[in-house]
Amino acid sequence: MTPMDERIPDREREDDSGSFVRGMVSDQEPAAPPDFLRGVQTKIRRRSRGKFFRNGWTTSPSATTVQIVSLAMLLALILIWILGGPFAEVGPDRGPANRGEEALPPVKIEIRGPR
Amino acid sequence: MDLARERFFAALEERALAARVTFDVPMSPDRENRLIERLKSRDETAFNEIVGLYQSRVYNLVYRMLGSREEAQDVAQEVFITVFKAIHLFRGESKFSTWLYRIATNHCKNRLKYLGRRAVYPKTPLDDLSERDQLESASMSTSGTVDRPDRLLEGVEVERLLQEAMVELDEDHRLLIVLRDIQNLSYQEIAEITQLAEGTVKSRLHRARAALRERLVEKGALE
Repeated sequence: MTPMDERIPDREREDDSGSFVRGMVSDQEPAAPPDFLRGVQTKIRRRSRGKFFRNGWTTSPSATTVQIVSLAMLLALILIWILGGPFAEVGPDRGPANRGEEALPPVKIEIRGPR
Repeated sequence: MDLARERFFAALEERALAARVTFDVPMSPDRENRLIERLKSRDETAFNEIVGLYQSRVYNLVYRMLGSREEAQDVAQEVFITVFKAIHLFRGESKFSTWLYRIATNHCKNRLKYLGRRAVYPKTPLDDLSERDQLESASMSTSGTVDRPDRLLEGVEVERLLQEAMVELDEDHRLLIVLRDIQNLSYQEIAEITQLAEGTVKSRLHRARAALRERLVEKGALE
C-alpha cells in the first residue's frame, strides 16, 4: 500500500459508493457478437496450421450435431447388419447339413483320353 | 432545474435500483474442474463450452476498458486463444474466472499500450454508442428499464457520458471501477486479479470513484 493509499481512512475505503456507476450502466450490457466463437476457432485453426478446429463439427458450440450424426450412422450400421446378417434370406441350397439329409457320396468323374 | 433534467436524474435512480447484482457464471466447481481437465486434454468441445460461458463477461470487461467494439472483439478473442494455449499453466490455485480475468486485463493493458504508442484509437466510445442507439431504435428494443423513447434517449445519453468519463480515467482506476462496479467482483477477487492487497484495492477504488464522479459532474451527468 502506498502512503497515498494509507491516507484514506478505513471508513471511506470500505464504503461502497459505486452505486452511481451501477445506475448509469445499461442493464443490457454490450454483448459479444454472434460469430465470436467462430472467430476464435478460425484464429486457432490458422495459427495451429490446421491442427485444431480442423473439421466442421467443432465449429458447433455444442456436441449435438456430432451426437445426431453418430446415432444416425449407428442406426444405419444396425440396419445393414440386420439385412445382411443372421436374418438375411439366402439362396435355396443351404448345403446338406442344413437340409437334414445325409451327404451324397462324392461323384467319381473319369476323364478318358481321346480314342 | 428543468423537467428534462429532473427526468434524467429520476431515470438514473431507477437504473441504480434495477442494476444487476451479479455476473456470476452459474456452474458448480465440479463441472468447471471437469471442463478444465477436458480442455487440458485438448477437447475442443470443452473449449467451446468455456467460450460460451465466459464470452459475455470477458467481452464486457474488454469493451469497458478499450471503449471500442472492434477492439473489444479482437482482444476478447485473443484472451480465449491464450486460454487455449496456456491452460496447462492453470494449476487451480485460484478460481478459473480469476485466472481468465487476469489474462483479460493483461491483454487490455497491452492493447492500450500498443494503441497509445501508435496514437491510433480507431473509434471513440461515442461512435459505438451512437451505433448502438441506432440498432436499438431500429429493433424497437430497450435498454433495461427504459421503456419509452424519451427514456431510451436518456439511457443512451447516460451511458455515453459514463463511457466518455471512463475513457478519461487512469487505466488502473478504470480497471478497478469496471471490476467492482460493473462486473460486481468481490474485493478479494479484484485483489487476486490485480495482484494488489485488498486494502490497496479499496483505497484506489475510492480515489477512482472520486475521479469518475468529478468528471461526470463536469459533464453535467451528476450533481
